[in-house]
Amino acid sequence: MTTPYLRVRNVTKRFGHFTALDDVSIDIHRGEFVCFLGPSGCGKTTLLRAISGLDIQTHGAVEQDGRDISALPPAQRDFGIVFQSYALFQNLTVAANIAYGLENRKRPKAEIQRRVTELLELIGLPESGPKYPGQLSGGQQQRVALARALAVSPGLLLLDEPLSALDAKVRAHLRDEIKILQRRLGITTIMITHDQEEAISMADRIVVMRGGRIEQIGAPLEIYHRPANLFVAEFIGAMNLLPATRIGYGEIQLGSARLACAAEGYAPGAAVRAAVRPEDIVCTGKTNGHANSLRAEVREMEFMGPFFWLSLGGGELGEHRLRAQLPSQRARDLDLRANDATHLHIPAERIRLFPHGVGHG
Amino acid sequence: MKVATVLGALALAGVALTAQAKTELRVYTAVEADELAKFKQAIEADNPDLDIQWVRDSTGIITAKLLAEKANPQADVVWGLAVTSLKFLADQDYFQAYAPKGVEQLEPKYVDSAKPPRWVGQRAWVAALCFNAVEAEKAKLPQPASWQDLLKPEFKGKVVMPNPSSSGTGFLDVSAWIQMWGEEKAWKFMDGLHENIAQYTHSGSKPCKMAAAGEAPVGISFAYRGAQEKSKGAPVEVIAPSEGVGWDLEAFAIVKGTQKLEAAQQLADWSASRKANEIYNEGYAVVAMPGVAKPVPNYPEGIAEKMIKNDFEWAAKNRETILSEWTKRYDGKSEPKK
Amino acid sequence: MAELALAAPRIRPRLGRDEWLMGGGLLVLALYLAVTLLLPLALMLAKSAQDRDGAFVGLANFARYFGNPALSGTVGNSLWVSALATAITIALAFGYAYALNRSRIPFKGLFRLVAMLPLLAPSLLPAIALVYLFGNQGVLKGWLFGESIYGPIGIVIGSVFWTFPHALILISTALGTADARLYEASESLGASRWRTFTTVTLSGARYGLISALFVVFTLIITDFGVPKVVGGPFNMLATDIYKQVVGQQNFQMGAVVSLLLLLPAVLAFFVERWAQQRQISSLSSRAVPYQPKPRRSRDRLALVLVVTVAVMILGVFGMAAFASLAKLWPYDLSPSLRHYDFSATDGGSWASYGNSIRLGLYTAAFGSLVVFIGAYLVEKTRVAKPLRTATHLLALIPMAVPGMVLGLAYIFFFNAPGNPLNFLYGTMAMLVLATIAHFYTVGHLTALTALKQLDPEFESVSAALKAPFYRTFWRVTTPLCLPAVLDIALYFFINAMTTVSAVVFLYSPDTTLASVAVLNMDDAGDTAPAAAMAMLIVVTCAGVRLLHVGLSRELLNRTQVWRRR
Ligand SMILES: Nc1ncnc2c1ncn2[C@@H]1O[C@H](COP(=O)(O)OP(=O)(O)OP(=O)(O)O)[C@@H](O)[C@H]1O
Ligand SMILES: [Mg+2]
Repeated sequence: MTTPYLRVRNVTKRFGHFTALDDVSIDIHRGEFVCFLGPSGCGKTTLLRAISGLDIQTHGAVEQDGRDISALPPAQRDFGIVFQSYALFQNLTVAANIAYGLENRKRPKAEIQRRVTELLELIGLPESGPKYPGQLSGGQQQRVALARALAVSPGLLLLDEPLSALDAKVRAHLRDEIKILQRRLGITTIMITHDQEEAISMADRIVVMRGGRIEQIGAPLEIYHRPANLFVAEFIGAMNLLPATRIGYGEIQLGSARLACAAEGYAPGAAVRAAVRPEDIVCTGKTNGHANSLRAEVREMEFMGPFFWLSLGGGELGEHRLRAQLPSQRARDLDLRANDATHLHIPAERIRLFPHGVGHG
Repeated sequence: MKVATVLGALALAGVALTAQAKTELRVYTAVEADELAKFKQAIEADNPDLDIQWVRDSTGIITAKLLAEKANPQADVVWGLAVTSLKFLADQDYFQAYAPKGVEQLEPKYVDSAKPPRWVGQRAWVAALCFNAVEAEKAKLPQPASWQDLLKPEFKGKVVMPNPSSSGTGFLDVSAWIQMWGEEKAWKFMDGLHENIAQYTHSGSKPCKMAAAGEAPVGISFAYRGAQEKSKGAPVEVIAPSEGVGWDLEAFAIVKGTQKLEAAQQLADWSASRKANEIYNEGYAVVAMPGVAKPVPNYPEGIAEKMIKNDFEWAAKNRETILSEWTKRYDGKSEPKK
Repeated sequence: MAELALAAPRIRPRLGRDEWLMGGGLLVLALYLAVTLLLPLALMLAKSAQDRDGAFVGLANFARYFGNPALSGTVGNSLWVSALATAITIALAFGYAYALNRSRIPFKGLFRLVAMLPLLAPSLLPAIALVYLFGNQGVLKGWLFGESIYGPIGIVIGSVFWTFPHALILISTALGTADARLYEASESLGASRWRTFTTVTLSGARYGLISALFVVFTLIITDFGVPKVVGGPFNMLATDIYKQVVGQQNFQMGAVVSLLLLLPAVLAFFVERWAQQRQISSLSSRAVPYQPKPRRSRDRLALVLVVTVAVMILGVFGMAAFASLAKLWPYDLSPSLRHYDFSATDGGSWASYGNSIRLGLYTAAFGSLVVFIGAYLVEKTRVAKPLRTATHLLALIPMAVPGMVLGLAYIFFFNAPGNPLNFLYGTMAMLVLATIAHFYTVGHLTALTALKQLDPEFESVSAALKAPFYRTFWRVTTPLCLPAVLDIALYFFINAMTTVSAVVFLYSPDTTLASVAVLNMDDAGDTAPAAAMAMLIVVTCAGVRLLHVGLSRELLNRTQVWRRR
């Protein structure tokens, strides 16, 4: 692969005795869309501010396009930024907001004019130039903020929860727009989000953070299907985490059932946690045509439209509880009801093991 | 265009020049505010190159200010200040001795005996009582004729007097009582008077103005102020108490080390002139140049004869002790008096 | 790995032009405050431990002060008179605020306006009016049952008058933020009205009350306008300083008394801060504004109180105006403007008025500039955190420093031999500096509040767009804060016009001031001209206030588009 466009190396940030970022390293490639995802207070904003130079890290280096920018003030870096609050200049018109950075570069008036028009079209607000931000809706304002950041054609676009202040519908819409825009412009982008769905749908790669550290970096699929640890497994998507014991070669005991799975790295007899996504559990009803199966009873069924949430227990599961997603059409076929007994098939490659007792459990 | 610029520049330069030609003199004075404009005008009319900047305050304050600035004097001339204060300062080598033109025409006892004199007297201001006849009528108060009359119980809370530590008028009263009656009797008198005093004021003219406004029936003040208030139409009688009245001499002196010695001497020359003495006489009955004085309207009859034989030397020497004794006895009385 | 990061060298942020300018600006501001505030005060502390010749004498001056019963008696005087006046002010202001916020009386706007009028006058004005009202020739003399107005009675009444609006503002704010839900809860629990009043109203307003209590007490104990005029023979701490310094030029003793005055002021400062914080945190963002329902008995009582107080306030102004226009009080009351010809009185004539206007304008212009830029540097820059904190703390100091103390400190500092700033002594520039320093805190806090309402990321966006910070400050921050800047300018102007306490020590023959002239004229017994000058100040302040209203409205109109959504 080519050399990364942005390199964050061993970055640590302290506020007094509190360590907000602890030895964080990431490489981001040109044109990539990366999301920082993690619980509140995990250091996402702090990392973004270190990259932008708005709040320079205590230790470690940041390189952009081969240049060491670790100690540079923001004005000497190359980035555009958009905040949750839009931070539009309320006393300037939309056009003036967008032109703000351009005027500063002493571009000719006509060129600025042209660029502003172009950007207004790009964000789908061609008529809004003379309006004031206060006269626009939240979603429109955020688009203006985006245009303002993009106006000077920065090499790096930083977005700190740009969609959090918007209501769900606008949010979904703008999500797509941003993604399309980013593709079209090919601009390297980092976006902070709380919302894993947002991250999974938009990002080329996701950086999962916790407590000032990076837990995992990877493509959405990878993060989703191969979480590196318990925290990621739990944090992203829904996950069943069940205590189990490794028994023979490539086998675990879950309740009174035995299930095959990849169990390298665990000694026989070791206590483990088996992680299974609800959608990976296949309900086969009365038939038991698969190797990796167990019996259980349906405790509750919750209709969600396209699927049911099943809560399973008893049978071979014993005290354990499993949640499974059952497509509505399949539930119809099986004619499954609450308190029915059913067979469950869990594909071996869909079971991941984690050491017992680590993480939240 | 060009011509206009040059002309403008010349005009500006001209203004600057004439402005520069005027010498600004910083003159410390205790002369009543209502006379200062008149004096400034007269002085500058005769001396177009002088620009008089008055710093006016009560006698005590000007004196304290001069003392406080001793290390780094701010005044060029002290003018119209009580001679007791001037003597006190002269003894501390505060002044530049200078004999103004025509000083020999002045009454010798009103001029410093040193040759050349360190200070030169201008005019005497004389203590007097201001008595509001209308208010007295209402309160059934008899018109006082003597200092001792003020001790009568019916005057309780009816008399206002200036505080001698800030007011020159206040001090000349105290000084006169001691000189007339001796220490013991004078302090006893003041103890009695204190019982009747409603308020000690900061300035010497305020008691008379209060009497004029009826705020207090009797104000211990000085003749000039009484005459002025009466002329303005206030129902006040100006009384010279029978035992004798204190007085002090307003005098001027040049501050040693002034940067503007020449201008200061010019002012000194004018201040000893006949014309100056005539203006002094407009409000004051006794002036330094003999033969100038004409009677002043509304002055009490025969006040000149009642002026005590005043020993300035003694007053200047004892000023501080008298004031600290007075302060100890009467100042800071926390009880409001009725 | 973590070990390695620890061992790695600490990043030393490189400073761009913006950062240098911000840091430089902060440094200049800190120096400015140090020079105009901290150093003078420090020097004053030192002076209190020196004798007249500057030798160190420890606490000897204090011992002398307390050794003289006449002098130290003033401490007791000051305490009880201030306490009494404070109690009356708070009670009246609470009643008035209650009527304005919790009853259904008519003309609330008008009553609020009348209550604010005393802010436009020097504290000397009510004192002078009292002489005319209750003096020996007073029109209402009989109301005092033979007691004299000269003394504690006069001081108390005068102090109540001029501190009333200060108390009203604080208490009104506390009462205005009531949460209707609490009232509903109390009512639905069947609590009696009295119980609702004590548990909900009083306890909700308690921090406002406490804070008003201390603020008013400090204002009164440090004021010297009122006791100077109607104190008569009754000494207060503030008049003592004046007597020591102006009367006897005893600066050391003045410094001693100043320190005594500093104590209640500093205490009030901390209590006020504490109360403010409590007040804010007790206000939940979901509070529902309380709407009083009509209730005849309460409303009638409220109206009586409000009308009485308003009439008294207007009466005081009316009396001063009348006295200034009467030819020869009390014997010839025909109207005349002769008292407005100040040429024959102490205090520097009309030139003083001109000087005061100039002082007001300079202070308003320069003061709001310094204060606003200063608050911006403290609040919005991303450099030199410790310097920003220090500067902010410096900016809070003036609130705890009585004007007379500051004035005295200025004498010591600017007149000190060897001080290169000595050339400022006695100039208009020094009066401007002193006045700005004296009233710095309120301006600073006003500016901070306005700045905090702006999006905190403006500066980040601006840096990302590579706009120099000063450009964004000028094009965005300042226009958005303009109403607040105007408020600050007005505050400076009015206070510069009315203040006496700091400037009374600092004026020179070329820079006499109208407010000081009022004092000096009264001192010389020219009470009517003093009233005239005081009225002139009031009229001027009222005019400027109106101008401010007009300007603010115009500004609001012009910016309507982007302000309202
Ligand atoms: N200026 C500061 N001083 C002290 N602590 C800070 C400062 N800024 C951030 N922190 C702390 O650093 C940690 C990380 O903060 P950061 O803002 O980066 O979190 P975040 O991941 O962006 O959270 P959120 O999702 O809530 O925005 C938090 O615990 C926060 O309290
Ligand atoms: Mg954040």
